[in-house]
Amino acid sequence: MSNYVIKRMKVTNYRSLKHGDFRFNDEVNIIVGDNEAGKSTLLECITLALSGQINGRSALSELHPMLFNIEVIQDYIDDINLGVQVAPPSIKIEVFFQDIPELVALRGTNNTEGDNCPGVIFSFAFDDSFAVEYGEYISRPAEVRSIPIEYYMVQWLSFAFNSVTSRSIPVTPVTVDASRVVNIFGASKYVSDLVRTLPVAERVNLSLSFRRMKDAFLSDDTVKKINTKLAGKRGEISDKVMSMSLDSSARGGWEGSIMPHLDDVPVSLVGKGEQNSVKIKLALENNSDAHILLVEEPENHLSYSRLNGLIERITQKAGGRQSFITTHSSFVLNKLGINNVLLFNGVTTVTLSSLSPSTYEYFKKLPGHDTLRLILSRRAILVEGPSDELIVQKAFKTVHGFSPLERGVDIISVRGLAFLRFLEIAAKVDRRVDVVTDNDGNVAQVRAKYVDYHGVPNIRINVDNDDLFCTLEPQLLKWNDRATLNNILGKSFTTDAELIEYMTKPNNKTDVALKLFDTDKHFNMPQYILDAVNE
Amino acid sequence: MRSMNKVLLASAGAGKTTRLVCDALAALPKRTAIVTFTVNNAEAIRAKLCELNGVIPEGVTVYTWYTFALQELVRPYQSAIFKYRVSSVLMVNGASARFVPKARVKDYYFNPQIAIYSDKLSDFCLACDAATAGLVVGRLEDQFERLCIDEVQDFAGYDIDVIEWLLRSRMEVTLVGDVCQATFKTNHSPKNRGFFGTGFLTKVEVWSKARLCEIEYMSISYRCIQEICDLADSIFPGLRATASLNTHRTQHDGIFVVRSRDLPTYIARFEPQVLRYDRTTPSDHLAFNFGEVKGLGYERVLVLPNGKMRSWLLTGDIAHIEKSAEKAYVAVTRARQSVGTCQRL
Repeated sequence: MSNYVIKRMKVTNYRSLKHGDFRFNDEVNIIVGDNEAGKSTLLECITLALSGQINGRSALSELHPMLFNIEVIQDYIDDINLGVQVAPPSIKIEVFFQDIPELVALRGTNNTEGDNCPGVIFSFAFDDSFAVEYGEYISRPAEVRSIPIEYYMVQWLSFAFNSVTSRSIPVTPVTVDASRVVNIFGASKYVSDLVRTLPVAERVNLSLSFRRMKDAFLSDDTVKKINTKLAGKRGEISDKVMSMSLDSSARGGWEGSIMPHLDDVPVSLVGKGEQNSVKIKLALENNSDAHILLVEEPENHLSYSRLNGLIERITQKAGGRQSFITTHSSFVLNKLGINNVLLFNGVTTVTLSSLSPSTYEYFKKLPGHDTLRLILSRRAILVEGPSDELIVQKAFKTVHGFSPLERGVDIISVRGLAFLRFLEIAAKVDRRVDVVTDNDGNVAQVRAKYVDYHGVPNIRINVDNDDLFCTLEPQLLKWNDRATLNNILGKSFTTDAELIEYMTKPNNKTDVALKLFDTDKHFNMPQYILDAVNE
Repeated sequence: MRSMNKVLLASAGAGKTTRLVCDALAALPKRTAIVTFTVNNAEAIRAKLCELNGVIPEGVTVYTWYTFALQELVRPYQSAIFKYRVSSVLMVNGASARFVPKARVKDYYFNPQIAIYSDKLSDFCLACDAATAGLVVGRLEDQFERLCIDEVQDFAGYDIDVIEWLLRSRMEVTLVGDVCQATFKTNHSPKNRGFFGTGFLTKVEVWSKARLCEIEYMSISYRCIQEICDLADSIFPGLRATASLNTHRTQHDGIFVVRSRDLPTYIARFEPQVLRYDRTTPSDHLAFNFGEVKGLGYERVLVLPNGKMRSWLLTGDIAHIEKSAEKAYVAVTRARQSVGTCQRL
């Protein structure tokens, strides 16, 4: 099978994607982004441009004003109302394929980049033949409340500028979205899809058994009696003879009367999680000839162990096919390879490709690790353990008056060497990451450890330069006197040494941090922590 | 080195449609584009493909010339010259937009609906290819390994330059034509007028000398009996003689002159298809114009001559039909067994 690859997609005015320019990996693309960034819309665009369908229906029948970007609609209405002459906005999706011989018919330079490659452009645009009607429409600006989609047409062209259909585009996408199949149509389609996965011989046997059952039903004494009685009533309801039988029309075929069961429970009644995983596996199975795989949040309703199996199935089934998977789960992300992550913000995509193999393996082997938090946050502060986490949180709130989470700042507790792994990712992500670290009595050594990130604009290493105050607790004492800390901790140590010994005992560390976190009393934060929380 | 390209010059009834379809099927899985001139002929080729192969195979695409030029030559790289999508081809007789200089690209090549004038189609293709340093032909080469152009005698003007440009491509190009049958012109522009019709042969010989193609004659006719072949050959004395492969014999074979007053009896008895030059020749019977029956064959035809043809038939002097030689050729070569014509006697 040919490997069709979408290299790039440009979207204009479609839903939340006002102006988007996205580049993709050749194989796995894990789309990660904020909830409202438009990840699903991105997958929708791919389907629309390749199959001409939205939600499984033809685009023209699904065309409604809300497909347009909300700002674009508002700008248009405002302009019309102000009497400004503007062209009605249009939606445009351009898909650039890798240039392979199988796609030569779609090749040309008719795209907004002028690139010579195969591709398609799907657009909803004003149909000029309605110019007169449209003139009438905008002649009463006060009545213009929306985009006049009645005067729009679908234009679907290749980069060779020839009209295309879903049949002339050899690239077929399949969407796997377990959460969407909710209505009766979807459910029964799901069942008939399941049945279709059976080998022909087995299907024939099922059909035969079903027909035999029908015959048995008719020859049953009770049924016979009822039918004799009904026959006697001829003329009362109809001039024809009425009888009870099983529906043998196409609609009532055996497929419609059969419901798959899992452990004797009808599939429609089993847990949502199991249903989803069955649906996804089924879609993968049924569409093994599709070229592009689109998977929406596979983690929905699934436990970790189930998810693990499912992800393995997805990877295995995808083969070399290009796939796009949206997720909020760091588990999925780690399993599928952090190298394949596309950070998506609705305007562009950033890849994490070219991580060092050891970092790649590190995150792959530690599913559930908090990589995604780093990627999803607006800014992150990496700390060494729970005590540091509490103190940094407190410092943040004291300085800004908001908790870090309220400001989209994630404080992530990271173990020793893992700092460097996280920083390797942070270096590829254009957002601020602060490291808060102990100097462990050797600042020079700490600086040497992070030397690669010295001068990287979005990464800052915060550490105190005084080797005598090697960890958090001595640092707290450096910036506060013994009385202040005694007071907050409800203690009355008479020497600094005793206080430090108490604070640093493994059993007490968290307790001390919690007391400092909860207290209303003022105490000074160490400067290197303040540096880290400052914007 | 012998050229991969071929020019097949066929006599009427030589079975060229069958030949080009068989060649395309034999060449599979090589991808072939078959380009012909009329919609009817494209349909005939598709029908022949289905007849011989069951379905039109994936590797064979049949186009009419205008569709081919628009979809594969004009549009893919049109942005090098003009950015608005070319909507269609507008057929023009004679020269379009005669007083517009070439520099005014939009008005020179297109009507207001951005349909490209048919006489400037090839010019535009060549301009696109030049402006993109060969991307147009490169795309075509990636799309098709073989290109077969049927009814090549009907190409004229700039279209001839496009054909030469295609002959120079990496594709294996076959041109199939009947030089005696140039009833249509794809292009009415003054350029290359000298090569139109039999003059096309001169061009083919130039290409052959330049090693752009090999010439192969199909001087046979499965359709017409020898008498009819000889009559047809006499219209173009410079060309090779056609050998008939039709050995079927009936009670009424050959060339016949019918008296006008015997015409109804003759038609009733032999049921020939009546053909006429055009509708200015009156007919009491259902008659087709010469131009409508290209590619078709009938058991017998009756040719209603116009004045010039009548003079030719009476004297045998082809000077009378100098300007309508191709049409006269088409008319007589439709018949398998007999050609009748009438004289006021």
